[in-house]
Amino acid sequence: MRLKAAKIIYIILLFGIIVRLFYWQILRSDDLSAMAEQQHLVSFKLDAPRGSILSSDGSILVSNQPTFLLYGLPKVVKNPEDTASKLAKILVVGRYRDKNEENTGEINPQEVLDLKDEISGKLSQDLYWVILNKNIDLSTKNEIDNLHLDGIGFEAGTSRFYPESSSAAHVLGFVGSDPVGNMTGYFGVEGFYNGYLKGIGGTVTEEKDAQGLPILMGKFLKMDAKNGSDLVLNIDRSVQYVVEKNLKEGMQKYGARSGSVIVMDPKTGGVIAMAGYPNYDPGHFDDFPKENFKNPAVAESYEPGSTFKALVMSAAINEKLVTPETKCDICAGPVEISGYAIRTWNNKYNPDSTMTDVLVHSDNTGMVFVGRKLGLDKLYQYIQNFGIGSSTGIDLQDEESPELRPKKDWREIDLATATFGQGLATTPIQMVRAIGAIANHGYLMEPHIVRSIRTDGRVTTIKPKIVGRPITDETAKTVTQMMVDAVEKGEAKVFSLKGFHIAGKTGTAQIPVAGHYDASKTIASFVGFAPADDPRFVMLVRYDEPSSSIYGAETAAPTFFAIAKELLLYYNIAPSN
Amino acid sequence: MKRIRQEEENRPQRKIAKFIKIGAVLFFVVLMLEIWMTNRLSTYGSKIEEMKEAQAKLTLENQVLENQVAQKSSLLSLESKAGQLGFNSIKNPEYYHPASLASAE
Repeated sequence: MRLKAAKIIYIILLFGIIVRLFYWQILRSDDLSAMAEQQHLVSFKLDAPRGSILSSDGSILVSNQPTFLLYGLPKVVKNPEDTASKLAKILVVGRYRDKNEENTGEINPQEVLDLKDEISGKLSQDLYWVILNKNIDLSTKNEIDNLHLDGIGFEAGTSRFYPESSSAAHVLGFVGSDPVGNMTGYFGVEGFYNGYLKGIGGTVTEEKDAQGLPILMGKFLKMDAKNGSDLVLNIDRSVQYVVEKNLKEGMQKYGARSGSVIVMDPKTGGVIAMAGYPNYDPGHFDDFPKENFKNPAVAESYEPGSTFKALVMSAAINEKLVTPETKCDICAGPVEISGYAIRTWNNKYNPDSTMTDVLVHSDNTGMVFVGRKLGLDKLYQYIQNFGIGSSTGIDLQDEESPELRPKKDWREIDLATATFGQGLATTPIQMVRAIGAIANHGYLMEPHIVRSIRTDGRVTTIKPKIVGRPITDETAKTVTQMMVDAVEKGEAKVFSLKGFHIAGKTGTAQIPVAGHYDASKTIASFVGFAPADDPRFVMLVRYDEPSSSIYGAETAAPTFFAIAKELLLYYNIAPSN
Repeated sequence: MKRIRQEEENRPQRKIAKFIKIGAVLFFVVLMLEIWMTNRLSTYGSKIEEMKEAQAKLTLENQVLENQVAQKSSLLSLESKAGQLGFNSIKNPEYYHPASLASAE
């Protein structure tokens, strides 16, 4: 009897245990597994390094560098004044080093004192955690580490590194935070190719033990980060260097408000160099006014002036309406149109000027003659065919294009002034592309900054793209010879390079101010290509409001030829004579 | 006869028992091996962390060195060095036509 009772109790207890086990291991298994995972499984992000930007020879223009955020724990720091004093000196030296300034030991003591006060103030606050400094380089971080200061720590991050300093700043753009705090490219190729450059982050989920160390035999899930793509540009850093050096010298010499230069390969549309002043340092962009960020070569519109004459002449020759020998029968004096008098730039008139003479002497009256031959319909069509008034499609974020006024709004005077590049607006890149068509057998190319994109070992090359053919090869050759004559016999002949055939055209355009033109303010420019028979480059130099002289022949032309001289040497091109 | 018949009947059963015993020993050995390995590897977490830190440190140093090389081969740096070494830019190059050069013949 007692044995039987014992058996029944045993069975009941056993049944109870089974029920409880069933409850915990079957009914609650999901909850308990989730709780265990929360304790044992740790997830963390894998950062995708942003892609580098390289010049045409593979040299680094932009890469990444480790930077650190310095933070303080005010409740742990015992002596804020002493800590601030030690940190301030190291941080100021680090700033000098970062800005490539020669640290001769003469640090500005006031700068150190100001920083010391700032840090001391932050460490004296009733907070648990404060940011003391950002974007500290590795050397500075190591120096601070060696001090073994209590309550001071670092958070690792990355920032962009520019070994060529502010060279090609407008082409490159910069990287900053977006409204949600993510690093994003702005302007230039950083902005245009941000999607390629930024990469995609990954995650790792692994099991950790009680000490926080990974368990080798435990769960491990990894989604690899996808590194940002590298960009190889068409920009030649040597040519970029030459261009920037000469442009900077020219800005100072001619007292210009701003300036820009573009050098392009007319056969491919590859932009070899592009510079604009005033510029900025993309590594410290917040030290510069925002107006400097926009690339004047692709975003600033201007009236092209006499450089436009080469395009209008090309149109008339292409239509077989004139030849280089055609004589102008209205060039004996000013031309009256709708109450306005069209004059030459120097008020000198050459009766019976040929079309070549019109370009050589930059004769506005001769261009009115050409414009009348063409008529509004054909002129407007050629302006559009040359890409004036429409975006070029260049791979820079900041391209803008002024709109071409509708043809129906053009009056007779507008037709006349357009023939010498006034009354319509264009951008420097549009002008270079258009003149590039003359240098490239009549083919209009799409300009490109980036040559190829490297992603995980795969290289995607951006092929040259023909966007149109406004003129024939024959026309291109004819106009090229006329432009060579313009260089060798025109106002800029004193600056031309002996022995080399360079095709070019000067431009001096008055600037419209409040509905009228200001005679004292001009855009001085020169556009051309060399060598004329097999062009290696097409280039535009532009100065905005030069003060030493208003004329393109005396400001932009000398800069053009100074750059061309160095480029011809760089490309090992000997004189043809 | 009866005994022989019994022996013959028991022979397959003994073979099965023998296999079971060997299997059990093998299973026990493998189990012990796995326990030993798991136990040994459980402390490797610290080594993994050390290797991760070493990898991160080397990656950082690699990036820093790459940047230093890029900085030293920048055109600004090269221009400065060239100036210190006494190099000047070419002002007026002279060009010679091959026909005007003396021939070895």
